[in-house]
This record gives sequence, C-alpha cells and structure tokens, in this order.
Amino acid sequence: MMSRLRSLFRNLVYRDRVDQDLDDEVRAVHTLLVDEKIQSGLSPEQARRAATLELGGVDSVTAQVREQRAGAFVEMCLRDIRYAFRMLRANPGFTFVVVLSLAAGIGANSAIFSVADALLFRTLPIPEADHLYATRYQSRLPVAPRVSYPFFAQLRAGFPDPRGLAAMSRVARGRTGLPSGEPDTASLQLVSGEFFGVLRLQPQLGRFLSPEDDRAVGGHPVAVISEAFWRRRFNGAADAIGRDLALNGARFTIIGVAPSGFTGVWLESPVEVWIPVMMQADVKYMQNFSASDADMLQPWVPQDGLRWLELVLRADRADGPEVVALNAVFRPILLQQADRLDDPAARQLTLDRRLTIEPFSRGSSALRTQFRTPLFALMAMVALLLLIACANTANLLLARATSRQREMAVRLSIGASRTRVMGQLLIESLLLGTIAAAVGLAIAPLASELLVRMTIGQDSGPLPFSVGLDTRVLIFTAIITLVTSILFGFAPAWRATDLSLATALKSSGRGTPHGARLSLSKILVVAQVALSLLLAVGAGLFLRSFGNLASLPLGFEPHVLSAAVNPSVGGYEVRELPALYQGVIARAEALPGVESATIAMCGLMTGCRSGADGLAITGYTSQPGEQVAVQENRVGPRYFPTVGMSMVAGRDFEAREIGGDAKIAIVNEAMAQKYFKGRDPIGQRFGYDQPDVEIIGIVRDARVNSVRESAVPMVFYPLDSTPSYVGTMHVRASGDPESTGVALRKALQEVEPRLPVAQVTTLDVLAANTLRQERLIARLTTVLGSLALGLACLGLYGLMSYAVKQRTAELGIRFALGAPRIRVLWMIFRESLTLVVVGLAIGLPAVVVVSRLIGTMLFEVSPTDPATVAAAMLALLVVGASSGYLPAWRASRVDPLTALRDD
Amino acid sequence: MTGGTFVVQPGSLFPALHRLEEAGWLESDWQPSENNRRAKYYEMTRAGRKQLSQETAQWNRIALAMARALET
Repeated sequence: MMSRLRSLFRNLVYRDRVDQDLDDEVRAVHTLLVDEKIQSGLSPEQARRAATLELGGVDSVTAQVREQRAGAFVEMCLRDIRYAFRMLRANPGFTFVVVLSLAAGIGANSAIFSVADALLFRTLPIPEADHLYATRYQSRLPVAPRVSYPFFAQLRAGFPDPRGLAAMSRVARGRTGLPSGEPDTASLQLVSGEFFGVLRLQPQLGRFLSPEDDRAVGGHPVAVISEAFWRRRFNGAADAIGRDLALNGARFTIIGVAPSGFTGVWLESPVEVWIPVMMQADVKYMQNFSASDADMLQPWVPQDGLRWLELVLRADRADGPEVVALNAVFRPILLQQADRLDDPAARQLTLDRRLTIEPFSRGSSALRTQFRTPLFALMAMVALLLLIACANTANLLLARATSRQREMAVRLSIGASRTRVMGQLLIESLLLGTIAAAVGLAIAPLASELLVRMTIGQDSGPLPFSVGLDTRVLIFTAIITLVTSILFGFAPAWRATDLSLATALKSSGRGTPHGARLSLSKILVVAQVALSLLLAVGAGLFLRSFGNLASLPLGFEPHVLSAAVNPSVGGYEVRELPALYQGVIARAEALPGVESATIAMCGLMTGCRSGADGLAITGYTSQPGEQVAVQENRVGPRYFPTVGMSMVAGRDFEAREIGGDAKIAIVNEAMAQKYFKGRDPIGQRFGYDQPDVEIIGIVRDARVNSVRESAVPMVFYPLDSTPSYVGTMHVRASGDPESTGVALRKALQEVEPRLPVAQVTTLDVLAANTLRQERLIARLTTVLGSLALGLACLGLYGLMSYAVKQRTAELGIRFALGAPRIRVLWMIFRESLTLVVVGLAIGLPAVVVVSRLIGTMLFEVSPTDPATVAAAMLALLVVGASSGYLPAWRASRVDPLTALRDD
Repeated sequence: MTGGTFVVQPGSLFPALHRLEEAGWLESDWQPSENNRRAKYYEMTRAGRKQLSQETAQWNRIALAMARALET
C-alpha cells in the first residue's frame, strides 16, 4: 500500500522524469532487439522493422504503461481540465455568457444563504449551544416573557442548580467618555451573576461577573467588556483590567474581557459592556419593561411590579426537570393571584398560565422574526434564478455539442469509451461551474453586506453580525456548484456522445439528426419561460404591495421634523425636566420658519410603543378574559396641530393643562369605536383601578407605529407635573426641512449641551424606514425578475438563432422556390411565439399554486392578482417575442444562392 | 521458460512490470547490457518473493484441485 502511494506521488510530481525514464527503457529494449536481429543476420533496416513490429511501437507501449500505472485517473482528470481550459478559451463569447449567467445565479444564492445563515441558522459562539434555553410564559393571552427581579430570585432559589438560571436585560446604549474626554457611547447589558456561567464561557482576561456581584443594590460597580470594545477603547492592553469606565455618569471598574467573537445573545445588538443587574438605577436603564404598581424612578431590583428581565438556562430538553422546578415555584404564586380574583373566567386564565422553556441556541433576533418569511421567499427565488441559468447553460452547451459532433465522432470511433468522453465533457461543465462560482463568490460578500445594510438601514460602520464567506457558505457554494454543473452538463454530454458515428463522420452538420436536440432545447426554453413567469409575478406582487403601502394616508403631516432626544442618558433628573422641556420648545419655536414645536414620550414612526391593559372604562363591559388594552402616549403642548393630526370632536389640551395634574385624555377614533360604540366618548371616564381619567377630545386615527400597522385604540395624556422622560421632539416648519433640521440640532446643542440629539429627519423618512423590509423585497425581486427575464430571452434568442443557422439551406430552397420573405419571417417568428406561449401556459398554474406561499407577505394584493399576473405575462410575451424576432428577421434575409452554395 | 506455451507481448509485459514495481514487488536498475548498451534490469524484492511464493502455493492448490477434478 505504502509503495503504491509512493508511486502515486512520484508519478504525479515527477511526471516528466518518470515519463522520460519509461521512454528510455522501452527505447533501450528496442535497441537491444535491433542488435539481436542484426546479429541473427538481418540488414539494419530490416532489423529495425522487425523489432518495431515485435515490440508494437515505442509510443504505443509507453501509452499502455501510462494507463496502467498509479495516478493514471488523476492524471487523466488533469489532462481533461487542461483540455477543457483550452476549449473554453477557444470560445470566449460562449464562456463569457455562461460564466456571467451562472455567476449571477451562484453569487445570488451564496449571498442570500450567507445572510440566511447568519440570521436563521447560526448558533451562538458558546460551548454546547444546543443546551441553552430561554423561558417563556405559556398563556392564552399574549404576555411578554419578562420577569421582575424578585420573581427571578424566587425561581433561582427553587432551581435544581442555583447557578444554572440567569437573568438579563435588553441591550441599551450608554454614554461613556473616551480617555481623551470626548463623548462616546457603548452598548450595555445588565446581567445577573450567573449569566456567563450559564453560557459556559471563560474570560480571555480577568474574571467574569459572579453571583457575588449580585448582593447589594447599587453596590457592584464592576464591568466586563467585549473583545471589540477592549480593542477599540484600550487597544487590547492587558492593563485594561482594573481601569475605570464611566457609564451614564456612574463609575465602573473593568474586571474582565469576554472571549473573542462573543457579543451577547442579541444578534443585531452586539453588547460591549456587561454590568450587574444591581446597577440598573446607577446607569439609568429604563427600557423594555412592563410596570404595574411600581415606581420607575426608584431602583428596579427590589420591585415586584417591574418586569424587565429575561431568563436563560441550561437544560437537556424542553420538558426536563428544569421546567418542573420553575413551575413548582410559579404555581403557588399563581394560586395566590387567583385567590384575589373574583371573576371565575379571569381566575381560570391565571391558573392556566405556565412557564415553559424554548431552545435559545441561536439567541434572540428581531430581524430573524421579521425576515424569516422574506428570506425563505428570497432563497426560493434565487434558487429559481439559478435553475433558469442552468437551463440556459444547458441550452448553450447543447448547441455547442452539435457543432462538436464531428470531434466527438472521431474520438468515439478511434476507441474512446463513451464514459470517457462524457467524463471529459462533464469536467468541462464542472470547470465552467467552478469559474462561475469563483466569480460569484467574489461578488457574494459585497451583495450580502449590502443586503444586511439595506435590511437594518445602516449605511456605514461595522455590521452588528458578520455575513462574510465562512466555511458554511463555502460548503454551500461548493455543493450548489457541483449540483448545477451536473444538472446543466449531463444532458448535453449524454446527447453529444450519443450519435450514430457514420452520419456524423459523413457530413458536416447538415442532415445530422438534430431534431432530438432541438426538442430538448425547446423544453429547456419553455421551462425558462415558465420559471421566469414565477419570478416576474413575484416581483410584480411585491411591487404592488409596496406601492399600496407607500400610498397609504398616514394621518399626520409627513414634512414635520422629528428629532430623537434622550434626557435620561443625558443625565437629567426628573425635577429638571419641566424646565428642560420648556426651554427646548421655546428655542425651537424661535428658529426662523418654525411654526410650532412639541415633545412626546413616543415619537411617530420610531418604534417606541407604550401600552396598558386591564383598563376599566365606564359603560363598557369586557368579555370574560378580554384584555382591555390601549396604546398610550404622553405629549407636550400643541402636539396635535404640530404633527398634523386633526381633532374630530371635543377639544385639544390647553396650555395650562400640560404640566398640570388634571386627569384628562384625548382618545383616537379607533378607541372611540371599540369601547364607546354608539355613545359619545366626550366626558366619559376610564382608568386603571377606577375610571378617573376624563376624555376631552377625539383625534383622527393615524398610523403611529408603522405604515403597515393600522390604528389601534390609543390614548394621549398630557405630560404632567412630574413628567416622563420624553423621546422625541416634533417641529413643524415651512421651508426646507433639511436646513431647518441642521439649525434645530445646532440650536438644541447650544441651549442644552448635555442633551443627546439624534436622528433629525422628517416623518416621511421615518415612515419610509418602517417599510424598509417591503422596499428591500420589492427591489430585490425586481432585480431577480429582470435577470430571469434576461436569461430566458437569451435562451430563446440563442435557440432560434441556432435553429435558423441549421435551416439555412432549407430556407434557401424555400426562397428559391419563391416563398415570400414575410411568410418565412412569420414561420420562424411563430416558433418562438409558440415557445413563449407554451411556457406561459405551463407557468400560469404554477403561479397560482406557488404565489399563495407569499400571500402573508403581501399588503392588499391577492397572490393571484389578475392585473399583476396579466402584466407579467404580457411583459414576458413582449420581451420574448422581441428576442425571437431578430433571428426570424435574419431568416427572412437569407440569400438563396449563398445558402445553397454553402455546403 | 514456458516452452512457447505463452508468448508475452511487450504491450502486456511493460505495463505488468511497472505495476509490479509500483506494488513494491520488483526493483529496477539501469545497467550496461552484454553488448555494452544501457538497459533496465528488474529484480524481485523480498516482498515480491514472498508474494510469489504465496501466489505459487495458491496456484498449485488450484492446479492440483483442477487436475484431480478432471481425472475423476
């Protein structure tokens, strides 16, 4: 065995020397033979002849040895590859077209796959990620999976491994300072001491947070930083441990650096700093919580009514002892709660609740939830595109196979086996596929990065997660390349080597049995048309859906400016807020061109959303188990006129009511309709424990959250005397919004340098951002659809041109016999039309079946929208017909004399 | 050697020799021949001799069995 391997190595690496040696050897034998013959009395000439006869020719012997020796197969493949290279170089036009269309197909697949892999399939970079789980509430009502710290502590105490359950907050941006004193921000997450243990991570430097860092509220100013932050901020210096780090005005000491590549469990929000949950009040973390009977401005950790933590744990399976332990703690709490309820239905609902766990190996991602269906749709569409490119390539190869018939016939007749010739043709296909894959892989990373940037709406800066060419993407690309190469290469190779030798050798192409080839080509073109119809209809549907969304009336004035402000991160105390708000509004209104300015807890179209459930409303009896829920906002003076939401009934807040303590509210039409059917809501009351808030006005419905989401019941309160931290400033101005925006930012910076101001832009830009997903899909599918259409046209054009060339002689005879040119033109043109029509006829039922799969992604368009389907079919017909016209026209120009002489 | 029963064609001989060499059963060497020309000489290696004796034994067993089968 070893000896054979050595020979293999020697034969492959020192091929020339081995060949030379073999040649010498056989020649030496030949010489010996000649000598022998001369000695036995022959003349040198005769001796030479006799020796050659006996030996069978030096070259023939060496060839036989070469075929036998180790590595002959590899050598043969190498030879085939060299030959294939020569063939491809000899036909640069063909190679270019094929490589380009395949590269588009393969590149698109790799790009979409790498994004899908990053978002949907990749697991967290932690040991045994499969065993990581997160808790969820199981309930008949939608409940956020968040828990309060005291509840977490109870669960932890009853957990089999008290260090096996960890709590974490969401990711927040915090203010920090560079050593140079310049302001900087860092993304931070509050975690319980068990967090890193549950993830089974080891610090690359220093130590991690431990349960010892979870003892006293406000008492553990220690922080663990990510590798990226360590490199960015401390240049990766080992003495970063022990250094100070300011976060939102509180001082922390760095105790450890997380391992390379770990950026937390939120895919699109990489964490830079982890600090103990005990430090919530110190860093003023105030987001993603639900509160009942709680004081947000006091530390959250001891408060039962503030639910803000999510839980992660290790488990072997979703129904193991861990879940039993969790519910053993949860159950008595539910029983207590149920005891306090009078309504039997509500009690049952409470008792039905359970804690469950679900796999968390891939961490959390809002993008994943949002883009799951679109990504699968895109993956299907790029797969279709690749199929079309395959059909196209197969067709071009078939055409070439015919022109190479003589070559094949010669090779087969001098003794090459069919497998051998087919193998060689397949190697040519594989080479084409590989070159195309290389080109595709060169484009894929750029394409996937662009895709992610368009998805998250971030033009520059580092991506939150990598989508580059990792091993998985490379393996995926290798597999699709191999599969497609065989897919497009096999049929042409089979067809090329299947010929009756006699006919092919005899003639130069005319009279060869090309009927079979043409019918296979026709099938391929028909398939291309059918597949293109699918993509074209898909693109059309997404475009219409996006058009419908983009033309929806929003219910507010789109040119109003919006600026994100963050007084909490700016370090303002609650008592400073009224003065701050008055100051910034006055300053903004003093700007030239500004008509009015206002502030609000939640800005329009910003994704900020605050809600309440369990409302009591006078005169409204809720169904058993119904959650009376509304969305809320707290607004400053002149809010409705500023953003352009008009009052339907009642009155607006008066200036003195903003910052006062009157219990009043304005509701929207949706709220009026849902809870005050047939009654006048003005003067009615609602509230949480008792109905103590009076409705003073009704405002027109608006799409406040996103363009896609229609108005939900909503309540607007005036900011009161102990106001909330607001998130947004809205400014209505005449004139160019951009220059007003710049002036606004500058003015705010002057009057309140501490106040972080971000994202100054108009409401229609924000609204457009909420349609990012739809716009992205519409654009991508349009590009894919156009590519598919182009490839199908190329296929049709190629086929018809080839057919015309094959029939030149026949056409010549027709003309010679007096056929009118227009008849011939129509005859050829009709063939391409037939192909397109047949393709459409086959594609149509497929469209009806397949487009239903994207139905949920469409807005107010039926997946079989007749107008869209008709438009797509018409487009294909027109483009298909025009690509079939040129060959037909050329056919009608055939000169009978040249055509007949040409053979 | 075989009394003319088998005539080995060079076309079969050379590939066979090379395969035996690749298997490690033969060794080859360039040496001057009787009339002072260079020629390649093959020699059996130890592994080759072992293989030969095994194959011979195997062949003899078959030959014997065949002879007996034909005699009866």
